[in-house]
This record gives sequence, structure tokens and C-alpha cells, in this order.
Amino acid sequence: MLRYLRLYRSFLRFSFSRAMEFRVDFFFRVVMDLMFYITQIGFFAVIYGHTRELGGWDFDQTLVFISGFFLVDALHMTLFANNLWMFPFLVNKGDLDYYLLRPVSSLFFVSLREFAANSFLNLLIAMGISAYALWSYPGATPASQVLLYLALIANGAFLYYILQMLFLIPVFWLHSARGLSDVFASFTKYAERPERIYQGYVRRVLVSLLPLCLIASRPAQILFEGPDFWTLVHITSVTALFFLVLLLFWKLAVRSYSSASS
Amino acid sequence: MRARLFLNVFTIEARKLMSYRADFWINTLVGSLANFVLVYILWSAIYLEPGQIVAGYSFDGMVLYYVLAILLGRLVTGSGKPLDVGQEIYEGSLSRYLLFPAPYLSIKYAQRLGMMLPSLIQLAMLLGAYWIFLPRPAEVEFKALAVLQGVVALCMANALYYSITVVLQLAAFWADNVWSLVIMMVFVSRLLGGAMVPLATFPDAWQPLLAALPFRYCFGFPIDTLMGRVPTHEWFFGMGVSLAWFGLMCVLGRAVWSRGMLRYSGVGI
Repeated sequence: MLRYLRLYRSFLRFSFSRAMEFRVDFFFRVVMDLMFYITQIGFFAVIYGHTRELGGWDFDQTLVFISGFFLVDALHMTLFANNLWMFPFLVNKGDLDYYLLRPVSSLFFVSLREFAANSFLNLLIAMGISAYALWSYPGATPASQVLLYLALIANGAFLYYILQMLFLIPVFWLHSARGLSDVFASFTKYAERPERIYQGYVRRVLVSLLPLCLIASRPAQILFEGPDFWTLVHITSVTALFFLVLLLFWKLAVRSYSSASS
Repeated sequence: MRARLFLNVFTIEARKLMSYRADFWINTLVGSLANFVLVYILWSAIYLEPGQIVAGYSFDGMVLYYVLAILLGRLVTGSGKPLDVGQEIYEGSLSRYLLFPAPYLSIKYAQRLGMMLPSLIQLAMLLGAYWIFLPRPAEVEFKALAVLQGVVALCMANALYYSITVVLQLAAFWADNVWSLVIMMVFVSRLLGGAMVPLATFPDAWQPLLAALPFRYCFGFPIDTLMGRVPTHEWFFGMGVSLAWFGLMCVLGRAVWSRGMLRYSGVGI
């Protein structure tokens, strides 16, 4: 474990020095994510101009929910996004060889090699938006509930990473992950809307087979309505199960990897 | 640029896109369907009463708006594929295009239209599916003139979106990476252009600003025209604004290109 922490510290040092070399890109990426936040809030502001509630939530609640999603997105962008973007190229060009030869877990190395220092600033901005949303939310939210909510948001970021990785791994067989990657991008929009707008089978799928509602929506629901033992068990067990599936899928994929011609 | 050369580039690009058939169909069919189901569910949660009207759209009208926004949006943005102009400047691979017997930006536009050809086929199929399976809104009557005006507005939208994207990508002559600049434009244009939500749903105070910005003419304007929601005199006005923005982008693009070429070393960064 200590070895992995030391290794991650090296990743951080390397990533920060690289980010400082491309200062304009650093600035553009910060503004880009800021635009994403503004357009999402703007979208809901327009929608709430025509309805009082959406999926049982008023605008204040939706603001808390969407700011929670921003936290998930910023964590994902900071820790995983750059690495996952590069991953299909590593497989196609045969560069994954270098990762497989290292004396550490290849999945760890592929997923966390690059820390996006520019997105780290956005993580701070997302935290600011989230703090504002929680502060302006008129309902009672005890500190313990807020802490639990933040833990579930961190879990949501991890689940988001797992799901994206599961959509990318087929690149070992399909040679191009573009189609599936775009499909995943389309599906992630389901995570950006309140869970209770979904009904019947769609909702069941979104909390089990493709658990996008567990990323930010369910944690927000727990924050507003208080913790429920079975909901917590549900979220943690689904995350654990998907992580297990990812590990097995990764093992299977690496076994079928044939270097440059893969 | 000669028409034959334009056609050659166009055909090659269309064939290239079709070489990854699985990707192409998965992306379009599943992606479009996923987007459609999401907006259908979202608006079902807003239209709670029968016969409810939101910003002049019935529920079926809103559904049609989004079907068109999803499908026509692909035509406007060139199937969502990146232009690579910024990347080519950054890597220095722009150099080979400078030897071609046609202007670089015309070649890129031909490539972009080539990318859209398969999307046109898909568009026809998916619109056919809409026609068969979903109820058509009572307030929308498809008239030949509105369809013709809509098609013209759509062509203009494609050219306008291309011109804006190119100007942003040309910033690569100075900046290391303009990818995020383009994504930024995508976010803003989708919200303020009417791809995320119809512009009529914005507060009244916003309408003059939305009408003056170029984004409306990329998405909302052609869609509303096709749906017969834009009277002829407004259509002419909209096309005028659209053309003015396109002209401005062309002038700006030419100026940025000339200045950028003075800096371009050809070796990449």
C-alpha cells in the first residue's frame, strides 16, 4: 500500500510540472469546466421557469444535486479522465506493454498515471458551488448527514470511473472504443438528472445494471431525506460488485492482449 | 476549389467514416436513442396535465423539437466529429495540406460534408421511425415552403457552425491546445442555441440577446422553421443575421489565418 502511495506521489509531481508547461491550456481547461457548470445550472434554471418541481425536487434541491454531480465530474476529471482518454491508444499502439511490465497493478497504473492538475482547480470551484448550494438550501442538514453525503459523492466518482472503464475495455477486441465511448457519454446524461423523474424499468436499470442514479442523485436523496440502512447497503454493494466485475474483465482483457497488433 | 476535387475529398471522408461501421451505427443509434429517451422522460415529468402547453409547445410538439434537435444537430455539428484543424497546426501536419491544389479550409469543409453523408442516411431512417411510431403534434403542419426554408436554414447553420469552430481552432497558431476552447463553444452553443432546451422556454428578457447571438441560427432557428413556427418575414430576418455572423466569421478567420501563417513553422510543437 505504501509503495502505491509513494508511486502516486511521483505521478502528482510529474503531472503538476507538466501542467505548468502548458499554461494557456491550463487556463482554457479551467474555463471549459466552468462553462459546463454554468450551462448545467442555466439549463435547470430555464426548466424551473416552467415547473415548480422536477422529480419531486424544487430548484434548491436540484442545485444541491447538480453541484454534487459537479464534484463527481471534477474528481473524475482530476484523477481519471486523462488516463481513460489515453487508454484506447495505449492498447491500439501496443504501448500498453510498458504498463504491463511494471511491478505494480497494471489497472492502477493505467487508471491513475496522470493527475490533471488543471482540473484540480475546477475541483476547488465545484467544491465552492457545492458549499454555496448546501448553505443556501433551506432544509435541515446535520453535519453528519453532509459528511455521509460527501463520502457517497466520492463513492459516486469511483463508480463513474468503473462504469467508464467497463465501456472502454472492449477496445481489446473491437480495436476502436470510439462508438462505445460515445454511447457511455450519452448515458452519463442520465446521471445528471434527478432519479425520481425515471419510472418503472428505466429506474430499475439505472440503480442496478447501469447504476448511474447512484452516482449523484441517490446521495442527494439521502442528504434530503436522511440515511436509510438498506439504501446505503445497496450503494456500497453495487459499487463493490461492479469493481469486482471490472477486475475480472480487466484480467480477461489483458490475457487477450497481443501487443501492437491488438 | 474545383468541384471535382471537392467531391473527391467528400467521398474519401464518407468512406473513411463507414470503415468503422460498428462504431458508427452503435454511436448513432444507441446515442440518439439514449438522448431521446432522456428528454422524453424529462419532459414527461414537466407536462403533468393533459393538453398542457409550455412556451407554445404541446408535449408532442416538444418531443418533435427534440427529435429534430438530436438528428439535425448531428448534421450541423458534422456528426460531432472534431475538425482536427487545431491538432494539425499543433503537430505540424498542416504542412502537407499547404501543398494541395486547394485552400486548406475548403478541403476541411469538404471532409466535414463527407463525414455527414452517412448521417443523412441515418437521419432519413430515424425520421421515418419517428413518423411511424410517435404521434405528430396537432399544432405542427408540415408545409412545403416551411420545409424548403428549413433546409436552407439548416445548410446555413452547418456553414455558420463550421466557421465559428474554425476561427476557434485557428487559435492553435498561438495556444498549445485549443481542444478545450472548442468544447467550451459546444457547451455554450448547445444551451444558447436551443439544442438543450427550446429557446422559447427562456425568459422574455433573454430573447433579444438570444436572437442577436449566432448560436440560435445553428440549432433552434432551423428546427423551428421546419416545424412551421417561424413566419416568412422572421425567416428572412433570421437568415440575414445568420449571414452577417457567417460573413464576420469568414473575415475573422481569414485575418487569423494570415497572421497565424506568419508564425507557423511547420515543425509542430
